[in-house]
Amino acid sequence: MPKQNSPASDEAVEASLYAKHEKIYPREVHGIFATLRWLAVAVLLGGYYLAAWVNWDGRQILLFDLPERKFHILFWTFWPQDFFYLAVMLIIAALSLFFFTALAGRLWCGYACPQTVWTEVFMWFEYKIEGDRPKQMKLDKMPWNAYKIRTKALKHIIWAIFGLWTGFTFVGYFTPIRELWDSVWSFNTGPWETFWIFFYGFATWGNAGFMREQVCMYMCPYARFQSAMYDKDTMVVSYDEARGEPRGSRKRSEDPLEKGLGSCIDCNICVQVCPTGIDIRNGEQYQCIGCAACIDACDDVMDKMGYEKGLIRYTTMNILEGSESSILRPRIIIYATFLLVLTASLLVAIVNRVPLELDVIRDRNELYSETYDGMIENVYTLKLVNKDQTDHDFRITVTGIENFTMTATKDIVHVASGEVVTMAVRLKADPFSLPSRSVPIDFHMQAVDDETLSTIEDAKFLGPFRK
Amino acid sequence: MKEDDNTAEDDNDSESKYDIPLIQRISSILWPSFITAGIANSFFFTFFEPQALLYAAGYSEMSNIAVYSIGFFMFWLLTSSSCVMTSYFMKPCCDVNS
Repeated sequence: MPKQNSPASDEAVEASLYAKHEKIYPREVHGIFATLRWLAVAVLLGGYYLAAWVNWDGRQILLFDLPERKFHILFWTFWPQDFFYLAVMLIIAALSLFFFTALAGRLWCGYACPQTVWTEVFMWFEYKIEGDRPKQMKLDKMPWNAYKIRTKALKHIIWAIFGLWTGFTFVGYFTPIRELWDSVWSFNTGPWETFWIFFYGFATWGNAGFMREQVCMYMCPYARFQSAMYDKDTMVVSYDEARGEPRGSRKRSEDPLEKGLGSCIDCNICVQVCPTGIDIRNGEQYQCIGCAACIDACDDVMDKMGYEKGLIRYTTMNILEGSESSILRPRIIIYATFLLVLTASLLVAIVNRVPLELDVIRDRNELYSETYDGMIENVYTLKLVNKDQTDHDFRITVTGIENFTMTATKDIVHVASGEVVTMAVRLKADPFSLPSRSVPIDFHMQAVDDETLSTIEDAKFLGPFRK
Repeated sequence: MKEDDNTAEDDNDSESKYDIPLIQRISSILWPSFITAGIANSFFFTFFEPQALLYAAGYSEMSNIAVYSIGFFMFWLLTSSSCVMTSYFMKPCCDVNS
């Protein structure tokens, strides 16, 4: 929402507000880190677009089934009641971010962040269609003509298709993708599904096509606090000032020592390749996403000049200052330990999870009732949930009181996989055998066909006051 | 809108290094509210079943996806209004007088 201003101040204000951002045309870069990033893009995006289509046992292996309120991850099914696991997973994600940041700075930003990964693909389309940096700059400066319209239109059409495919896949993680695919081709998608496909497609197009580095600078909370996890032993992309300065241009044949120059030939290529448009030679800056494009570019230049590589490189403050640097330090060990312990406990907890749930709700209207034969009766509503992947028959038993009779809707209850069955249970007990007004009892839910499949839920049996 | 005029003009007069780009102003309202709305929405619907809510409120049938989406936009409306107000009240007091 742009600010509403009086026409007189409009131009001046907009000039001051917009002037800050100049479009960045990152130069294409090749090298080991660019290759690594492309590898990450291939694995992550490949995974994103393909995983939605992988089925296991007739069901998508990754499906956050919102209509059914069940999350299917691999061969596990999580219910809203399993929120705890999700919370632990989020803590593990945060811890790994801390761990990797302490180890080697913004690895996440440079190689794995969706913003980086999609921007990389969008920029690749841009290079293929508009050409490299100088051609793009020339194209933007030239007046609108048939060529410019054609080029720009082609780029946006391809971006839009890619964005919509991304949006479609995204929605396909929340509603079964094969059904969604069929309904897309018969123009039959639900209104909200259509909306979210376009919304996410538009967001991809906007963030990866236009916002780019501004997302990192203005929208990313991690960018602002990541430096708090750094120490002097963190590997970060840095410019070796001692070796590079004083910078200056020279011929290849000239000896920099004679001219009193350092290794930096001031070619500015490190600035041109930077996706956030900073100059790494000015030291660490929060805009640096650690993509190492400047390392690749500078290594290339150093090679051409016949100098040693690594004027810009992954290194630590300690090394640059000439002191010892160690990877294994308390911070790293502590993060790693927490990470391992939490991940292991989560896996153990998930594997040992009993895929059953029993809810016992006491009749709210009366505490107890007395029957004609002088017995005390309590009524309970039982909710049996079968979160297992197969159907089961269950037997309900009660322990904790003596001399009682139990009447249930059914003796053996069939609960299909992923279903909830509600049933009423009446317990009748002799008042003289009740030790107190409120007797703690246990309901046992036991699968008939599988001994290991059982759960216990406690409840209370209430009776009259007795001495 | 009058107050906005003042802010904008003052920004223009003040030292340029304190200027905040328009895109940052917009993002700082729409984006944090988007994230918090998403979190609030997931929390809310984890604990409250949409169909039960619909039934209790006496609304006609609606798919779960529709309920989640409407819920999300209600949350976003709330959180973004709060972001707008925060950013409005962050205006330096001296600017109000000028």
